[in-house]
Amino acid sequence: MRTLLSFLAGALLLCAAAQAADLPAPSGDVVLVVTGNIDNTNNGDSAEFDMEMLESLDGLSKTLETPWTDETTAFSGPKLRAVLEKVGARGSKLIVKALNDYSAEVPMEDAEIYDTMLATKMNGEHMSVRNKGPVFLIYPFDTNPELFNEKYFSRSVWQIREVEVVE
Amino acid sequence: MKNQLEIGGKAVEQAARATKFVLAVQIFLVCTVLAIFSMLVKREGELHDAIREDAIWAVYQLDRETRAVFEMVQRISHRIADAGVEAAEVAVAPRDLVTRYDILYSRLTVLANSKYNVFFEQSPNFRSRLAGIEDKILAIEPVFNDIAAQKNYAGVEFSPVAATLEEIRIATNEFLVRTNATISEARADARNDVFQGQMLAFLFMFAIVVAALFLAFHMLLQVRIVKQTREGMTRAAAEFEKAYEAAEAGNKAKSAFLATIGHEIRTPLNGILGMAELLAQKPLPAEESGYVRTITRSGRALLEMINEILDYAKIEYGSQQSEEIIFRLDDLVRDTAAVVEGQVLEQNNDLKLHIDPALDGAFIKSDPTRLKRILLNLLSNAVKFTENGSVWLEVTAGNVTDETLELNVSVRDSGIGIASDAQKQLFTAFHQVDSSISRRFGGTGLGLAICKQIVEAMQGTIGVSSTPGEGATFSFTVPVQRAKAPACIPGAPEEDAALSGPIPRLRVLLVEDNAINQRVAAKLLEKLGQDVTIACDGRQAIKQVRNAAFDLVLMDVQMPDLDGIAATRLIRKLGAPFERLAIVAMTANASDQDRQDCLDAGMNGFESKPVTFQRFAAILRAHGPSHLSADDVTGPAITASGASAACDPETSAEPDAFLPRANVVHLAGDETGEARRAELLEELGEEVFQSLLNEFFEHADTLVPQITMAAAEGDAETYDRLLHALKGASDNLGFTALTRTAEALRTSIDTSNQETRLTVELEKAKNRYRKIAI
Repeated sequence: MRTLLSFLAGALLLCAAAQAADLPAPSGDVVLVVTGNIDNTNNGDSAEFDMEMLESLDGLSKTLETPWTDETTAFSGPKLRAVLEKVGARGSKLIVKALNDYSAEVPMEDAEIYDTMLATKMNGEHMSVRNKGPVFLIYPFDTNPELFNEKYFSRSVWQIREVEVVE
Repeated sequence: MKNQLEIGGKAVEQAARATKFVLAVQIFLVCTVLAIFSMLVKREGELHDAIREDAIWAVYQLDRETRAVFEMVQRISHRIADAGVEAAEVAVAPRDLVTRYDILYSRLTVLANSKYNVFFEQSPNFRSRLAGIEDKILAIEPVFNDIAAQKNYAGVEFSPVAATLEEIRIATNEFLVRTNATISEARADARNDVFQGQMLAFLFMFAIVVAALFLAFHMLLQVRIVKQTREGMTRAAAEFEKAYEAAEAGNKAKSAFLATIGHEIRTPLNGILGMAELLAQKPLPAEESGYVRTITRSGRALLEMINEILDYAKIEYGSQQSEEIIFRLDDLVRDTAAVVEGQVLEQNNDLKLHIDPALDGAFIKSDPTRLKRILLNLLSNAVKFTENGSVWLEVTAGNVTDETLELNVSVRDSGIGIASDAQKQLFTAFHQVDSSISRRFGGTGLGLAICKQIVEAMQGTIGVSSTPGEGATFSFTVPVQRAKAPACIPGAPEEDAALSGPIPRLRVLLVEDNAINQRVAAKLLEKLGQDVTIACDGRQAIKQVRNAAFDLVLMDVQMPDLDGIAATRLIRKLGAPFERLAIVAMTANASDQDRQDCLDAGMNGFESKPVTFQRFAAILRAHGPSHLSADDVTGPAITASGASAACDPETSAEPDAFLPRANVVHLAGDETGEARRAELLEELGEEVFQSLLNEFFEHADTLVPQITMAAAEGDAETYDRLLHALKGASDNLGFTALTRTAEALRTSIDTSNQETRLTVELEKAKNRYRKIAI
C-alpha cells in the first residue's frame, strides 16, 4: 500500500515537475536550498529559494501546540510537498539540515501523507535565526495527534538551511 | 457401604470448600497484580524522563554552540593577528559568525522554555547557573549586532569576546556535567521505582502461580475423591441390584413352586374327595359315616387352602392380569351375595344387603372378577366367623365426579371379632389370628392377603375395625370409572342403523359344539330368514367353509379339540376368498383379552353369549352385502318393539367393526333371564321353545352325574368342559341361577357338593319353566 502510494506520489511529482520546468533565481536573501535528486534547479545542481518564492507556493496556516513553545503558536508557510513539487524532487527520503549542522532523515511519505509545512512565520512574523528561523519543519500535530511523539519531534528540524533529496 | 459413601461425600464437600477459598485468594491476587501494572503503565515519571532527555540535549547543544562560536572567534582573532582584518573576513565570513552567534542565542531561548522548569527548578543551582550563562551571552550580543550591521570586523575587539566566551564555555561544560549527573541520578531513581514495581508484580505473579498450582492440585484431589465416591456408589448400586434380583428370583421361584405343587396336590385330592362323596352315598354304619364326613371335610379344607395358595402365588407371580369392563355394580353385588347364601343358612345367619341408591342400577368400568373376589372373600369370612348372628354388606359411593367415583364396601358381622393387636397382621400372608383358628375354621390365612394385594393393585385401600366378641367390620375403597349406562331400557327407540332396517338374506355357517346352543341359534337365525348350516367344531367348520360359499361365519370360541380362535386362523390361511370372509366370535368370556385374542386371530366381530334375537339381526345387517337388492331383503323389519332386552352400547360405529355391547359383561339377574326366555318364546313360538327346554333339561340331567364323576375322578379338563357346556346352554335359555352356579363351580371358588347344588338349581329351573308353561 505504502509502496503504491509512493509510486503514485512520485508520478504526481513528475507531472508537476514537467509543468514547472523553469525555476527563477531568487531575488532576495536565500533562505532555503534544495539539493540532490531534483529536476528543477536555478543554481548549479541546487534550487535556491528566497522568502518571497517560498511564500508564493501552496501554503497553509496552523495554530498548534509544540514541545518547543509554551503555548499554542501560529505557524504559516509553504507545504513541504509544494516545495518538493516545485523542484521536481524524486526520491524516497529527505535529509533536512539545520544551520548548526543538525540534520534529520525525513521519509518522503511525511510530505505525501501529511500536510507538513516549511514554516516561515511564527505568530505572523518571520523567524530570525535566534528564534528558530528562518525555516521550521512543522508536522500537523493538531490534525494528526498520533505524530505527537519523539520520533516526529526529532524530524521537526528548525533553523533549516538545506533539504537534500535522496533516492 | 453407607459409611463409605458418607466419608466420600464429606471429602467432596471439604475439597469444594478449599477450592472456593483458593479461588477467592486467586481472584484477590489477580486484582492486585492488575492494579500494580496499571500503576506502572500510568507512571508519570515517564513524561519526566522525556523532558530530562530533552533538557540534557538542549544543554549539550548550548555547550556545543558555545564552543563553535568560541572557536570561530579564536580563529578570527588569530587571523587578524596574523594577517589582518580582511584576511580574517575571508577566513570566516562575518555573516557566518553572526549566524553562529544567533544559533547560540537561540539555544538560550530553547532552554528558557517553561517545560524544563519542572526539571531545572528541582535544584536552585540550575536556574542560577543558567542565568549566569544567559547574562554572559547577552553581554557579548552588542559586538555581534555591530558585525551584523557593518558586515565586517573593522574596529571589533575580539579578545574580551573570546574571554567571555571562554567563561561561558567553562560554565556550559560544568552545566552539562552537572545536568548529566543529575539526570543519571534521576534516571537511576526512576529505574529503581520501576524495578520495585516490577518486583512487586513478579512477587504477586509468583503468588498467583503458587495459588494456581495449589488449585490444580486440589482439583486433581477432588477429581480423585469424586471418582472414588462414584465407584463406591456404582459398587453399592450393583450390590443393591444383585440383592434385589436375588430376592426377586427367590420370590418368583417360591411362587412358581407353589403353583406347581398346588396343581400336583389338587389332582389326587379331587380323587379323594370324589371317592369320599361316592362312599357317603352308600349305606354305612354310623361310625364309618362319621369317618367319611371327616375325610370330606378335611379334604375340602385342604382343597380350599391349596386354591388360595395358588391364587396368592399367581398374584405374586404377576400372572394375573386386570381388565377394564363395563358392568352393572348392583348385579355383581347381588350375585356375590347369592354365592354365600348356602353358607349363611348353614350357620343360621342373617345376611343384610344395602346398596347406595345412587349405585343401584349404575354401570361402572372396572375389573368385576377382582371386585367379586374381594367381596366373596370378605363375605365368606364374615359368615364363617359368625354363628346365629348377622352379616351386613353395605356398598356406597364417595367422591363422585363426572368420570370417576370411589366405591366404598363394608362387610360387618356380629361374630367373634378380632383382638386389636392381631388386626395389624391380618393382611399379612400366611397369618391367622391364632393357630387355633385354622383348627376351628380352616383356611390358610391367605384370603385377606390376596384381598389386600388386589385392592392395592386397583389403587385402593382395605382395613378392619373390630371389638373382640362383638364382631368385625372389614371395609375397602377402590376408585372406579363411571360408565354411561348402556341403554337397557325396554322399548327405547333404536337409533342405530345396525339395529333397525332391512335384514339381508345370508348364507350363515353356525359353528357351535353345544347342541342346545346350536338349536337356539339356528332357530333364531331361521326366524330371521337366513340359510343356516351347522358345524359342530372347528374342524367341521373349516371343511364346510371350503366346500360351500358362506357370507358369514358365527364362531363359538370355546370348543373341544380345535377352538374358534385356532379355526379362524386356519380359515384365514386358506387363501384369498377366505381372507375376507366375515367371521364373528360368540363367547361367554367377554374380557378385553378375549376380544383382543379374537381380533388377533382375524375375526371381524365379537358377540358375548347368549346372543339375543336383536343382536343376531344387528350382526346380519353389519356383515351383509352393502348393495342389497329388494329380493335379498327378507324377514321382518325388526324394530325396537321386539327388543325387550336389547342392550345397545353408546358407541355404535367402532372402527374394528366389533358390534356394540360386546364390552358389557353379563351379570344378568333373573329379570334378564326371564327376558331371554320371553324373547325366545316370542321369536320361536311356544312349540319350538318347549321342545328346546325339554331337550335342555334332558341334557342337563345327564350332564350333572357326569360332572360329579369327573370331579370325583379328578379329571379337571372334563369337569370344566362339562360345566362349560351346561353353563352355556342354561345361559342361552335364561336360567341365570343355574348358569351362575355352574360358573362358580368352574372357577373352583366353592367346591362343596357339586351334584347337590347343580340339582337344586336344575330343579328350580324346571319349576320356573313349569311356571312359564302354565
